[in-house]
Amino acid sequence: MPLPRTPMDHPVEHRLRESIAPLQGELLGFLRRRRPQDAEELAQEVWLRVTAADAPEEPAALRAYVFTVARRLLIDRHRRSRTIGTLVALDGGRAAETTSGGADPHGQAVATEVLEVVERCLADMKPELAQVFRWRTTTDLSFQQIAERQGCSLNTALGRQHQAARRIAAALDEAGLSGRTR
Amino acid sequence: MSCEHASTTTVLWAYGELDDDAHALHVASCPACSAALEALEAAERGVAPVVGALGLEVAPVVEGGAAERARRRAPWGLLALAAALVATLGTALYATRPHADPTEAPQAVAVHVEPAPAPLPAWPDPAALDDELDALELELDSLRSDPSLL
Repeated sequence: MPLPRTPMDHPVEHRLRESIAPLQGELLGFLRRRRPQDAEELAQEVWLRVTAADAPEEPAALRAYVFTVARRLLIDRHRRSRTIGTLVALDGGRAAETTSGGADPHGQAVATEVLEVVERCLADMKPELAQVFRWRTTTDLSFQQIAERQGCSLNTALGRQHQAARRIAAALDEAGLSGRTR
Repeated sequence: MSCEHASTTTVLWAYGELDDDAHALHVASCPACSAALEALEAAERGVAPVVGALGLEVAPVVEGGAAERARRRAPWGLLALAAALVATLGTALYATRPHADPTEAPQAVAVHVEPAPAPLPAWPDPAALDDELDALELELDSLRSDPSLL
């Protein structure tokens, strides 16, 4: 009696599994640099999504797709873990306890530096850009709700988040605080 | 390198507000959208450890914000406050008015008919209502604290 077929027995999916195998090490390294605490779990989720979707078969296109899915999952994970951080005082000033480093002095010093860079960058932006970024980053407001509060179109709110994120990413990169290397 | 989706659909998709596998394929093959996604991820990753501190700088807009309060306030609140103000003023004026002697014969008085009031203007927007309500609250407070104003 033949064994029941599993989804991975399908020839296309079997080929996909063979295609993604060489990417596993690269993906895990990519995720470990960003979220060492749950890189393995994230990698599993990436593969689940890639195999469930209509992923491209061509190796270069598949690689780009895998990292696209990974980045989107990272954004979601960064946002979900944001409440883990708690504020601690540092030398009379304010700093944030890092989610990964806990209350170690180095982690606090880095968090303070990041906070300064981000606050300076937000202060230099047009207020409406900074407002969208703050709202989207620190609250659960959807972009539609932000657009309503700002009295602008959804696309305008999205564009403001795009602009703000680009500037903050560039500022963190310039300060050597981003680790944007793949 | 530009794409009309980089600052719109891709941002929505990146934050999980648009579930569309087809757009994932587009982002993977579009340099502008890939760069936008990379910047969003870098910014979120960068601020993740300090997001609590960033939150301290944000005005309370989700709950209890001025716009939200104005939206939640029913116009009945304004009417009730206006009625209370009128009642307070009326009571105070009645109390300070010289009363007629009931033993005196009634005198003929001219009947004065007030002209009909002007039609009410269109209902103002919530923000204007909010300002008006705040002004009435201030006026009522000053009347309570200084009865001589009556």
